[in-house]
Amino acid sequence: MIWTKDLLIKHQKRYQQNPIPNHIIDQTLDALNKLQQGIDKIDVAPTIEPSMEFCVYTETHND
Amino acid sequence: MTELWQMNIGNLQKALQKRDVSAQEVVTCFLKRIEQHQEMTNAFVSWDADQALKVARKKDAKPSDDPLHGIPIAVKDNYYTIDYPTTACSAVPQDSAPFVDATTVALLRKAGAIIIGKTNMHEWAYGATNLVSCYGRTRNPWNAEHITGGSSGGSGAALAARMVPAALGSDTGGSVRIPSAGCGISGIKPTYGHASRGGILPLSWSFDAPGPMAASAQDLMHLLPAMTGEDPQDPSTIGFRYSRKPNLAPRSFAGLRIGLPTGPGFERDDDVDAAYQNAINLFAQHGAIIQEVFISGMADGFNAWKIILHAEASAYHRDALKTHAHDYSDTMRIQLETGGQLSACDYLKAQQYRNAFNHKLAQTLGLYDTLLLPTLPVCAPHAEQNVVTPSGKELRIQDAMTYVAWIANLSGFPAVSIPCGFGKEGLPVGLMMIGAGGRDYDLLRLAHTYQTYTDWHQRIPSTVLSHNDDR
Repeated sequence: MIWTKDLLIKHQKRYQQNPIPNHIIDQTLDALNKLQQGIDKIDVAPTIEPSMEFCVYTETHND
Repeated sequence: MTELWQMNIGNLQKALQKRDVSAQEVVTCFLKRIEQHQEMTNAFVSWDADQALKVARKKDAKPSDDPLHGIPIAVKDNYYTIDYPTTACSAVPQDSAPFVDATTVALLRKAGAIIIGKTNMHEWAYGATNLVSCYGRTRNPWNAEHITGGSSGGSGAALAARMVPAALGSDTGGSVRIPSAGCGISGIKPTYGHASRGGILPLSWSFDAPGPMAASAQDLMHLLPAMTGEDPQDPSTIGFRYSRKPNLAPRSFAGLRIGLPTGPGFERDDDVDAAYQNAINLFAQHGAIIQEVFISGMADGFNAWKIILHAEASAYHRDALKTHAHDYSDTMRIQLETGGQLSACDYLKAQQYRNAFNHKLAQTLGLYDTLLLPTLPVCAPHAEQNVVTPSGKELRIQDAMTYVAWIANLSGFPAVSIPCGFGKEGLPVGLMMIGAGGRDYDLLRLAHTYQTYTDWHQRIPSTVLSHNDDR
């Protein structure tokens, strides 16, 4: 997915009363598209469940 | 004669308990150090000499063998404290911030510590440079033109300048370890759930971890047991396997299994590499079994960490952004607006990847006592620098600071950073050890043993050397 300025402004209006100031809108768009590319690149099998535990414990060789 | 500000926590503790020195003398000494070096470092955002001395007088009137009796500790400004305002170094009004102690602060006070002040931090802990703070940027005592690293950069600078013997930081993507490396001090991000997040302003709920910072790993061993325990305010602490009396004596490196992470995502510059290789050689000379271990999926892992971080931070700030958007810095506003556009599916995809990555990493850590790697790919950059290029790879400063540190937050595993040398410009290099979940004290023991063979942790910036005898 690629975010355009119009799409970003439209989406942002859904929950925000303060529009993104003009002087940072391009940087926001750039950051958002980089992040979106990162999401699209993530390679994970659909069968894997989302993590709901935030530390995995393992028995190590010196247990 | 060793001055009070040069003593480690163990020796301060002994001197206080034997009444060779009073808590008032200790607090006075460090208050003087704060006054001497605050202008250069901008490490503190608030401190109250009268209050600290009042508490010290009470300590002197009632001797105790509490483990931290009379030891001054500085607290990052995102921890609630009963006697100081809490601002997260943000211009967003914190009228509702209660004057109560975060659980970890309360535990440290119970152990006898004296809270001496609050330290500067990157706005809301949402950045790793400490350049963005409503109190102004924090300056690195090794070279004031360079960043400290963040977001617990005030605590890092305060320790490097020996303005305090101990401090608290919080770590969501390296925020304890990054300034520890940048400032040449020691810090640990404990296992997720080991220390309570109760009473700490959140950045990203599923990553945040409070952690102690000090000059040495041995000092950290005094602090960590005193600040951990089950807390109903933080469900992740319930059921944690706490070690109340961990074995902290130096251990032999013979037979120690060390994995050296390799592959894309572990680039570093020549200065850092030289110090890192020296550290590896030291472990090898003392009998450690050292193997390279390929860690795959670093780019996806870094992306997953960013997605979860931005989504959780944006969720936390969603309401405040409606009413106080103009009070956030531009850089934070960009991050919040970015995170606010992510979908639930994006967030869950990142959590799926987290699950897969963590199980692979846990398997790897079943084979090694620790993964050993540089905390940062470069030494602390100049404050006006925008990018660095370790091994020819161009990285924005924010990405360079968190480049490998995020691994311990995505996984929840403990990680220690200790100094292991200096770059050509005289800035410190940090060495990170990552262990399996719950192995916090094993890591501290390793780090302490390393520090019995080296003196990097004892180096003090020439800018803050003072010959005043405060006793």
